[in-house]
Amino acid sequence: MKMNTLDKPPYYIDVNTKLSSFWEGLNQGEFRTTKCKSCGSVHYPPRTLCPSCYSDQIEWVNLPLTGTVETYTHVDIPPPGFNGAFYLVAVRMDELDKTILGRYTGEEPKIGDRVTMAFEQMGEQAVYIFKAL
Amino acid sequence: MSNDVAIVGAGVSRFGKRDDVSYHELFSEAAHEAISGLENVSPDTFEGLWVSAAMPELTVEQAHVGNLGAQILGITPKIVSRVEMACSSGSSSIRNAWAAIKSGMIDTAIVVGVEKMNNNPAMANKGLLYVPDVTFEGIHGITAYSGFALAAKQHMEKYGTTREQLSSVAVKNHSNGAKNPKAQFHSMGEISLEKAMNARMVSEPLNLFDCSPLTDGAAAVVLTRGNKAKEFTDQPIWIKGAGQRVEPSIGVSNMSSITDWKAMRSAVNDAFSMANIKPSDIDVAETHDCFTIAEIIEYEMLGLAKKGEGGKFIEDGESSLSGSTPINTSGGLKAKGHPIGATGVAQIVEITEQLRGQSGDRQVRDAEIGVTHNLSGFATHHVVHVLST
Ligand SMILES: [Zn+2]
Repeated sequence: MKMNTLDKPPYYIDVNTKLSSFWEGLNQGEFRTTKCKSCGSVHYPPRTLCPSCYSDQIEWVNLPLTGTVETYTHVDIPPPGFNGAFYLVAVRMDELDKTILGRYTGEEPKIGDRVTMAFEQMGEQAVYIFKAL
Repeated sequence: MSNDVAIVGAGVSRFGKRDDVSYHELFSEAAHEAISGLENVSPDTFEGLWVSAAMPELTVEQAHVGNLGAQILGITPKIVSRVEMACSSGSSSIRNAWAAIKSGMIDTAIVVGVEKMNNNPAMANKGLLYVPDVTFEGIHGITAYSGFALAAKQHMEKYGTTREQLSSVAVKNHSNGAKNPKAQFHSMGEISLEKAMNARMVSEPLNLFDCSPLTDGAAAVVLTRGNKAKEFTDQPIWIKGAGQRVEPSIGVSNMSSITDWKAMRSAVNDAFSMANIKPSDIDVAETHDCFTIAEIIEYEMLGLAKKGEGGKFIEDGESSLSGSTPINTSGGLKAKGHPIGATGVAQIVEITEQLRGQSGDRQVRDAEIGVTHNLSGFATHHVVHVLST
């Protein structure tokens, strides 16, 4: 399935803030998130307050773009701002003990498939999507 | 006894597309039914007011609805708030009122849940889209229905839950809704399994008949301290157990599992322990069937079915009106309707009526213990109440 590029994000998002490195990373084809300098927890979504020790001292880490499909759906009725139907996947990311959501480009995926991030523009901002590894 | 909390009044509006009433009138319709049967009521009675409302700013361009409620009821409560916890705003409001009475701050409270969605369906849908973490998950196109579709797909793959089992939940709840004159789909009557299975796909594997509708509706409950209950009614219903838990996650990223809801297990455990009941003691329950898969997982989290066997529970008819544990006798969110802020309050109303023997054609015989379960988000937040005669 071909993914339709959006001319802007479907919602208002703040990208020029303390967490701007996350959004810049996506524009450069990287998946970055925050790590607590105090206790070493790796967060997702990226944060300015560590939910493990409540430190505000963070650093950035680059994570692998790969993961494994936990579940998926074909969204036949897309929400406003999206052009046409798409696959949505929930991916358990490598080296990040969390599941993240993204659209998927390609033929129907299967649970257990290995996937990698690709990047797609929403206007000025890139976001990750997934494709088969 | 004096620290126990009783439900003395309960009322619900007709649910559906209610072009015939304004937001204020919808609120008044439920409040009137909750209050009108009570003895010894005056505006001074209500020391606490909670208004459960998820999205009035978006759909009716009204904020500050806690204060609006005080105006409609003509009251000057000592504690008043509007509660917004998306689809579980209603049960969260009940819990706040319960806690305020328990604390000794007040004796009597009224909770009113209200949502008017059909005058602006586009904005109502927008309100639902704002429920997940918009910046990190919404931006990827997640919606309520696709979130529960992810759960359905995983449950089917992992446990062999079938298309027929999902649709059977819809068939059952429409059958119950056909017996509830206030249900949104009352006049649709029963639906066939074939119709439910072959409806238009929304987010595979969920089709239109796996989803609850947009609804206008209101519900109201009057709660009081135990030793005051008899001043108002001969038929108090008791809140025997209460539990509320939330995941440290507003979407899937920090959730323990998409198909095994740790927060619900904990809320159930808290409420059942407090009430000293086990799953087999439940005579009737209202659970949060926003999507058919949700009800199937809820059988498991309530301990009515083993993990992975929720599909078999519906298939065996255990949750039907004539089954071992009738679930969603009102028609549930699926057929009665899902006016977001009113839903959790309406569940309490249904169980109160069941325990009082007032449920007409859908009455569960000799019901003495009833349970409500209300959730929000992708099942990240849960509130459970145990009620008894
Ligand atoms: Zn830390």
